Amino acid sequence: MGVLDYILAGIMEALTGNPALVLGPIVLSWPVLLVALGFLTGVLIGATPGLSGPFAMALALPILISIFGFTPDALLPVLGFLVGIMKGATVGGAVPAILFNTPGTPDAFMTTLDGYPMAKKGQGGKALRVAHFASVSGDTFSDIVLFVCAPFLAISIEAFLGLPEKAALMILSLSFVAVVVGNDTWKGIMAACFGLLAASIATGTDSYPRLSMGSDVLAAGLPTIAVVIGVLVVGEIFTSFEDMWTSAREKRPEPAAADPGDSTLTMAKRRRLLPFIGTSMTIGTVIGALPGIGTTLAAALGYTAGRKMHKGATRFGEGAPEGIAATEAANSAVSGANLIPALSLGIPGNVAAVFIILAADTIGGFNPGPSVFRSTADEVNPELVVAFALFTLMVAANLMNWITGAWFMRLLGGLIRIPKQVLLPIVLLLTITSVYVQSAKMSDVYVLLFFGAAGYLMRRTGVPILPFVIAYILTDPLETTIRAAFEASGSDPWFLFGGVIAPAFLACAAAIVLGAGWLRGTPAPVPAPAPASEKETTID
Amino acid sequence: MKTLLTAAAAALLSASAAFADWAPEGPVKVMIGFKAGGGADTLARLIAEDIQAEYGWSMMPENVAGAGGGVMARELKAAAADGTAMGIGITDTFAYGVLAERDPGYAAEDFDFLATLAGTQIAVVAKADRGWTSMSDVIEAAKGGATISFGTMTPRLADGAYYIGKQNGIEFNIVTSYKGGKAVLNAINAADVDVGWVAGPQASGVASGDLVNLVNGEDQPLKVSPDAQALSDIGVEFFFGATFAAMAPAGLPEDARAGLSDSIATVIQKDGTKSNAFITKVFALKVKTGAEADAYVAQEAADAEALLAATSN
Repeated sequence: MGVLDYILAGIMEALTGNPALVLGPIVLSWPVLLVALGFLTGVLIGATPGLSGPFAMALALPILISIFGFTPDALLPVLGFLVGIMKGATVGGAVPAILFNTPGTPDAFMTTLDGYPMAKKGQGGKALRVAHFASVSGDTFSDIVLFVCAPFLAISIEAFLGLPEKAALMILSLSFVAVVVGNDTWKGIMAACFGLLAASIATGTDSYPRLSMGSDVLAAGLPTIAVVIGVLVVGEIFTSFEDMWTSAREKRPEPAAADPGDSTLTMAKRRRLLPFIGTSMTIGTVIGALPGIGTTLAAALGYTAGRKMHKGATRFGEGAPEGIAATEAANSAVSGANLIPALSLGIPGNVAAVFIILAADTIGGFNPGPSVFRSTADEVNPELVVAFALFTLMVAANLMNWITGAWFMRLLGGLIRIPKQVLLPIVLLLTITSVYVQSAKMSDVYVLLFFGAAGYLMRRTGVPILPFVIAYILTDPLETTIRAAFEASGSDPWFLFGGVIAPAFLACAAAIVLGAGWLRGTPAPVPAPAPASEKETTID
Repeated sequence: MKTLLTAAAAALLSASAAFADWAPEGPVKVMIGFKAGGGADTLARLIAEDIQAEYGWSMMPENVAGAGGGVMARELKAAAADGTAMGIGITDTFAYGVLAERDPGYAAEDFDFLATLAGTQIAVVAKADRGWTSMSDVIEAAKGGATISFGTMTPRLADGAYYIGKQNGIEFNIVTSYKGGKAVLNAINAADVDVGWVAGPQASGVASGDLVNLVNGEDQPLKVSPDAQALSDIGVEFFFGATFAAMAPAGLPEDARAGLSDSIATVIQKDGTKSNAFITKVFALKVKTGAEADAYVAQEAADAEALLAATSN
């Protein structure tokens, strides 16, 4: 099969492969249906302060798996839903930022700077339009970069990197994530090491499952979904509970929703926004392709770049549409680019990518990594079909976003804001239920709560969560690759230092860790101290 | 005499009628010895689905993965021997797996084997562009000074790779950490290893000419390359295929054992069932039931012991 055949097969697989509804010639497939559902859920979740995309992905994954099972047919609907949430949450976050001065997701913080002033001036509807236009443009651009870059990156990795180089690349990525997330290099590295340790339980090549201490529960290995959701979601909920306990109930006056007012956005005005969107989406895409650096930094950099370019009458911070465009284009462009390392190397760069990899690993039949993009003339590579089908679903989500996103965002303008003390217990209950439903084992619930407590302690001591999660996911491929590289070298103790590329990667990793202090010394354009409402969602 | 015959016939008939009438007293728990998504998992779930469709019994598949099927074996051993619990895994767990582990916590005698299900299509595989057509070519290259890395996915196959080298006076760099034939296949394609064991997923690549089955690891000809070199040609008297099997805790009542055995053997051999389609596509049917299945596992244990003896010096 040629590349075109694969693309075609992928599109067919996504659009017609698994029909949910057939009306004559019109086929509505499960994957497309779930992308739509995921997108709507994502917008709603993103627009609810206190929740974010990863929350919804974490809740949805075990439920989806228990609905669709582990068959190959399950893969695309589940991935579609996750992709939909990812994209929906990105645009949804701007709604409360603009209308209520409360960012729905942390990366929407910069959106409040110009969005809320616009809303106060009676231009809320227009601000939403600008946010939507910029967000979808950024998202679409970064998806295109993903479609082009991921296959080429994967093929060159496959062609030029041997086992030691691949191992060194994983070490480099992990060091990078450990250093750039959080404020303390050593805490980041500690989190990564903790992830490596937890993921090592019951693995290894000996027939005795290591670190299992004779327990048959541990001998099957920790349930990955329960561990990841425990640390990410349950830990966050525990932390929020304590915040609510200590600060009692916030008595901040509820900002009244401003009248959306004039919501037209002419072509000429859109054209004037394009330079800002273009700059920001490029920044966002570059940031997104690097593992570990989140949307918040991209938004900050995009906003700063936009402020330097801007020469209009309304200054940034006083309600300039360009400010919203610069922020939203940058933070939305992160989501597609984040999947570049995930799909081409199997290295997740952020929480959304972690859930995509987790879904693929759990269901099976699709192993994100260089082997996905191998196309041979005669043999059909089903993983490549899945990859193109996934791209098709991302395009479908973008189309949905272009067409319905703006309307949906306005609709949410009047949404009821659920107080956290009601919302979080529901989320906690749903999390526990969904983990139990997927495995039907009480032991998984205990693991979930244990890692929830661990996540709480990590947050309270300033140990970042992301390095833990990414290390947890990478442990198995890292160990396998290192072992294989060692064995294939004929047990050469210097196997990681042969050639040029592997030592170069390792040197970079060492340089990043040792140079982190200097990097932090340079002032970075991070947002000003966030308001209390922003701190609640730190699982980006 | 006539009455005796009639009585015997009646007894036989009623006995088979009893088998046919047997039904589990509740839902049957199907413990799968491997992770969700793999070959054993897919096979087990399809069999469960087919039995449920064919017999109306309620089947509850559950993954009990770990220790190469050993965790499932330990859990199944403790389950009630009344036909409401069965396991699906590979015979390897009860042969080499028991012998090679320090304290497995179970033995083959703890189980009644219901049926062997399917055999793999294992071979040593290389990329066609390496220019090798048989394992002898690889051995020749190694003798000429080339370093050959050999990908494997179980300790038994690593022993096999070592033994192939030993019998031919060479030493491979054996890479043992792959978690399945598919992973080894990817490593071969990415040129991470030179050759490796693959148990079935190589078929389409071999058919298209991108890959070569250098030597057949099974005790019967491979479907896609029946003329592949035999292990005996390179001085190896063992076989390395894996056999999927269904088992229950030992001491199962005779009618329950026959009932479960029959239902499994029926659905996997019946044209048009999901499990039959899967097996014929990826593996090869290998159905032995009852005492024959027990004997098969015993034979494999004897072979495993011989292999361990041959490689541990």
